[in-house]
Amino acid sequence: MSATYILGISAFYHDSAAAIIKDGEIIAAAQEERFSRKKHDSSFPKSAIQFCTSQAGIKIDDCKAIVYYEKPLLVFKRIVSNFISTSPRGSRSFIKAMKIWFGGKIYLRDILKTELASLYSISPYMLPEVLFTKHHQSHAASAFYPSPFEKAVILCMDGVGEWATTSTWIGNHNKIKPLWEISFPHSLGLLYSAFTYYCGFKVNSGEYKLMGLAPYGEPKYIKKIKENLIDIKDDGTFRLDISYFKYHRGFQMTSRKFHKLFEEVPRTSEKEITQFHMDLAASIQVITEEIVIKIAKNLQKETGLKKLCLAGGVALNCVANGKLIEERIFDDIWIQPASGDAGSALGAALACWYEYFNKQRTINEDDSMKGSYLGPAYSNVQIHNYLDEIQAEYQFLSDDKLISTISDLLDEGKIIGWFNGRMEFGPRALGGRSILGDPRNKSMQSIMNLKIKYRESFRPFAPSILEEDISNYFNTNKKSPYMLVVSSLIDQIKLTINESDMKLFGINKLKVPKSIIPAVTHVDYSARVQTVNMKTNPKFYKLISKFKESTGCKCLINTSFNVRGEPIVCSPQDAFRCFMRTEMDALALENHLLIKKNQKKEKLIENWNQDFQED
Amino acid sequence: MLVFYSSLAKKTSYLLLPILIMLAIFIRIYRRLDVKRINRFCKSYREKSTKIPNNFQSEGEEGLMILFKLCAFIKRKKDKSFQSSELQDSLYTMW
Repeated sequence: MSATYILGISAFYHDSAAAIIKDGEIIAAAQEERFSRKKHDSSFPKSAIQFCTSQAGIKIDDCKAIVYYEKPLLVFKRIVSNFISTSPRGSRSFIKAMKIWFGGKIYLRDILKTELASLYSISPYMLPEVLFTKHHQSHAASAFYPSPFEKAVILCMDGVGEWATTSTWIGNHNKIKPLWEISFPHSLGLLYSAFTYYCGFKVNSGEYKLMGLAPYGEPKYIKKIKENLIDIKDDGTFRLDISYFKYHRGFQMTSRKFHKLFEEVPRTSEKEITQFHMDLAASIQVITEEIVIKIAKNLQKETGLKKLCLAGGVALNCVANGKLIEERIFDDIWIQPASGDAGSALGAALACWYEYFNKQRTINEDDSMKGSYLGPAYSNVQIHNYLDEIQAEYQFLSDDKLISTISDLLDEGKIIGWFNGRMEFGPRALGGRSILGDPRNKSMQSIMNLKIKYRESFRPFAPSILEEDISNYFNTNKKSPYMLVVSSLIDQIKLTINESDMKLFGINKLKVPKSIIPAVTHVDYSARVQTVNMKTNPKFYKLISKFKESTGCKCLINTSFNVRGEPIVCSPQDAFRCFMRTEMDALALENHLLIKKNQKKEKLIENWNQDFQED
Repeated sequence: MLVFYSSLAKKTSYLLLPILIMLAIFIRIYRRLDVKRINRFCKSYREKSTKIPNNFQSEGEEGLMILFKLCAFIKRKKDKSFQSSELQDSLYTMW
């Protein structure tokens, strides 16, 4: 019997992506932005779909079904009913939205078929059936089906899909059953985005900056937020006072009433970040954590289940995830690494396989995400041909030689571009497309932020550590393969801080080294840790092992291989361009090692920001 | 005058008729947001999840949506602008 392939698609909002599964096994998944080089690209994911089908070795008409990640007409209904409730306010945004919808989005089934038919040069009638899942159903499926759990509670929290903004489910073997939900406009994701916007960062992309800013501030505004903006019940459910927001009726997130409440207009990106913004970030972070923990506690109590799966954009809040783990409400928690809308493409395909086709589920004791290395890989031959074509200077090294050379370079304080195996699916670089550095170096955080990534100096970096070493540096023994959990450092590796340094405020806190790995220690002694194992990324595992053997340091700095505003690199071409436009010292493209000072000067790219808008 | 009047009437009807029809339909579809206010005395804000049918169809394509599909179909022939990056810039709106 031939295999059944299902293609999942998410598109036309933000972070378009495609994923393909074969008899329930995840074969490939990728975000369109990596191919188009446009951050958060929302267009039809042509290249991602082509990659998925070629990785599976099939044509589009070999698929049994194509599944879109949400029900577009329910979204349309929500927009219309929202306008009725707010009109005449919101007319401008409504008209703009209607232009998009009547411009074709309303008949999405036809659009999908037309695009796919033209992509593969076939008749639309030859395409498999196009199916639709609900937005939160896709999230829930992406969280539960790849998880290592037979039975679990599923919590999905994001901005908004059709109506649901928070939904809870029970996953049992091959079925997921909804429990309850909270609907638009009451949304934790949008509340967090409103503060993101107010603090001068981009909505749908700057939320992690707000999270990174939070430890510099004091949560002074919790009372004000709770008294005015949000009512939180004991079970964690919440409702917003919508008069403080504008996201449902305009082009901004917050209303004048909101600005009046905090006695400031929204910060614009070029203005300085002040203590006020840090305190706001700290306050909304605490509130987010409170809601997530309360809901989780209540869910555990009501269902009696011991495992939890998380998905939706809010599940990318690794600080809240860390607190949730610390609370020990559940025995085990699994978080979908691509828990934003990109991961919904995968969820849609999985929901179709298990729910629509009613197939049995095989549970993998780790999980079924294959380390999230689901994107394209490039062979040494392809890289060799490319480097010869552009006349780059390089050495071809065996695995062992490459690893020991890179380890030595890291020890010398060099910054390395690391391009290895399949690209990651999801927003985190996990050792497939990473920039690496030595975490012991006190100045490494500012060097990497300002000279490599060209981004704000307050942004922290994450450590990658061997799975078996995690408790040597961090107060946890839980693995964190997808860099989605923040853990605190153990006291033994913390450094003593003198009294005058303790009195420092805001960004000044950065100047004080906090531990023996200062470059990856955030100001609150935490780190967003990635655990690496031999099974999912052997080469990266060996590199960290070698670095540990020669230096005694058990982790490396691991940040995504890109500059500010650029999607993470996908191909050797992207990697080489990024290498040449930053002050990276060396680049490992599979087994090819390139040293910056050996490259021809005319290949250097001076203006890093000529191709990418700041995010 | 008659020419002017008929032309104006025609234009107005072009403009108003679809708006009136749509408004009438819209009002009947939902009034959900009206009932959602903060209630400090209730115990929970959870809502019952809508049952998810196992048909995996695009709900709403039937009935009233035929009208919208027709509009979209006519418009789509001329214009695929909804895929342009300018109109897709939906960062501040929940489209």
